[in-house]
Parts: sequence; structure tokens; C-alpha cells
Amino acid sequence: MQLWMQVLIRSLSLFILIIFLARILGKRNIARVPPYRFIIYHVLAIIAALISVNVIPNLVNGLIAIGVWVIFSIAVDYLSMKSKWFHDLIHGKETVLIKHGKIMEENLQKERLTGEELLRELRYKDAFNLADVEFAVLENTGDINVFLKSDKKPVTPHDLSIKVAPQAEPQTVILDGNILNEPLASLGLNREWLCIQLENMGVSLDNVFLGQVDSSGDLYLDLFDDAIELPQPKVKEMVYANIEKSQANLMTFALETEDKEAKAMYTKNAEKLKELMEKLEPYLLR
Amino acid sequence: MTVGTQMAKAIATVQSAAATMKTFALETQDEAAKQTFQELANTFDDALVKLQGRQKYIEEQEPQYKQQ
Repeated sequence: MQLWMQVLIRSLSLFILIIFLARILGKRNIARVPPYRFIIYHVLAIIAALISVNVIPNLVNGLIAIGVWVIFSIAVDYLSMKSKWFHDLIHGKETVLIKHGKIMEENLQKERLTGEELLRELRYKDAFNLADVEFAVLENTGDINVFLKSDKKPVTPHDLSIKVAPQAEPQTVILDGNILNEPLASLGLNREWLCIQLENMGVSLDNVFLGQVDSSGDLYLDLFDDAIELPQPKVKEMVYANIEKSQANLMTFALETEDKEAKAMYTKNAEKLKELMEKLEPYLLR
Repeated sequence: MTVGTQMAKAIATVQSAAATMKTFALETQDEAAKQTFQELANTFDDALVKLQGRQKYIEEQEPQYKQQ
């Protein structure tokens, strides 16, 4: 067989094999793997490349090498799942670098980290001021994670004791002008509902690049034609404004009527609506 | 009609107007109109707070005006 034929066949078959192996090796963020995995990936890549361009002439030897690296990599994963001791042996333990706001110099030295490197990593996490940091840990992937002092953390609605409506993740229901059935069904909606919504907005399905429905049922659309201004979904605000209006109307009626009974009825219902408004405010306005 | 009732009526009217402006602001598709309505709604909301303060004052001064 001619050499170029060999290279062609080897490359093609290895291409398929390697893509398949990459799936087996699992989903990992390449930038955040422990060092040993980094090495495994590189060894596999190099062996594959060498076989592909015929530097390793014996195909069987090359495949054995790939097989060993893949199987051991998976075996290590399983063993570290089963045994904590093995996990610590392979992955190492994370190192605490800052505790109670104080830098642990001996741990820095153990990890051969300089002060500059620590500060740089802290800055990545938006902690420019060392005084703001309560705790920082060096993960076995080399990342430094920072726990800020409680008074320096971002404010949450909980901190402000504001009640907010619970929200689930939005679902993408239209992509590139196609309706996606599965996300629609998971929201308990159907195609008819979507068509009615599109009709109300005066948009044709072909013109929609992306459509998302949030957990309260508002549909947000992005169109191919950016010149068209779409009304933003404001269903909840609308409901609240309408309740507010009805409440004010009831108050007026109560004041205007001469009939004692009607007056009492209007006042009672106005108060009921007022209570309702207070209850609904976090759900409709925030 | 006593001053207290008149006050309450004024408050209800302003509140209704504010709510109407808010619905208009949400319903209109014209950006300029939306902003105008929003501003009006804010003005009415301010007026509402002031009127409510005034009503409280009246009620304190003249308890007989207080609504039953």
C-alpha cells in the first residue's frame, strides 16, 4: 500500500476513534482539570497524532497505548468515586490560603505560590482589597476561590427582606423560526397558545429568530427584522395596574353612593382588593 | 359632605387616575407617549402620598371627620 493511502486510512479511522473516546472520557471543563487529567489528554492527543502520520508504524502498538491511557483514566475516575482515600491520593486536597481574613503563609510556601500570584487570583474574583476576604482556598485544579466577608457580599433580596416571586428557568420555545415542542410541553403550553401569542403581537413565525417563555408565561421574542419594535411583555404589571384601578373605583363608589348597604359593600370590597394588592405586589411587580 | 369625605373622594379619584395612567403607559406602543404616561403616573403617585398625609392631618385635628 502506498504511504499516502496508509496515512489517509489511519487518520480517518483515528479521527472517528478519538471523537468517540473523547465522549467516553466525559464532560470536563478543559481549562479546569486536575493536572493528571491534563497529562492524559495530551498523551492521548500526541499518540493519536503520531499514529496518524505514521511515526508509529505498528498500528497495534499505538492502539494498545491509547487503550491503556483511556482505560486507566476511566478506572481512576471510578476508584476516586468509590474511595475517598484514593480520591485524595490522586486529586490532592485543596489548600486553605486565607482563613479568618489572614493569609496562611506556610500553605502559600507549600504550594510554591508567591504573594503576587495570590493577589492576582484574588483580583480575578473581584477581591481587590485583601481586607474584604474572609476565606480563600486553592482548589486542586489550581483555581483560587474566594469567600468574601459577610458585609462585603452582594446584596440579595433576602438581605433587604424583600419578598420576591419565585422564578424557574425560562424555556426557549422558538429557535430559527422553528417551534420546539419539548420545552413548550414542559411549561404546559402548546403550539396553539404560541400561535395566538404571535398573532397578538402581529409577528409571523418565520420572522422569529428566538423566543423564550419565562416561568410567569411572558413570551419574549427576538426577530430577524430588528426594525420592528415589539411590545415588551408586561402582563403582570398590567394586572396590578388594573387591580389598583378597580380598587380606586370602588372607593369612589363607596363615597358617592347614598345607600348605606351599598356603601358598606363597596368599602368592604375595596378593602379586600387593597389586601389582595399588598399580597400580590411581590409577585406582580418584582 | 364633610371635608373628610371630600378628601377621601379626592384621594380615590387621584388613585384611579394614577392607575389609569399606568395601564395607558403599559398599553401604548409609542415610546414618547409611554414616557409621558409614566411621568403623569409618577406625578399622581406623588400627589396621592401628599393627599394621604393631608387626610391624616385632618383626621388628627378633627376626629369627627374620620370615616366610619
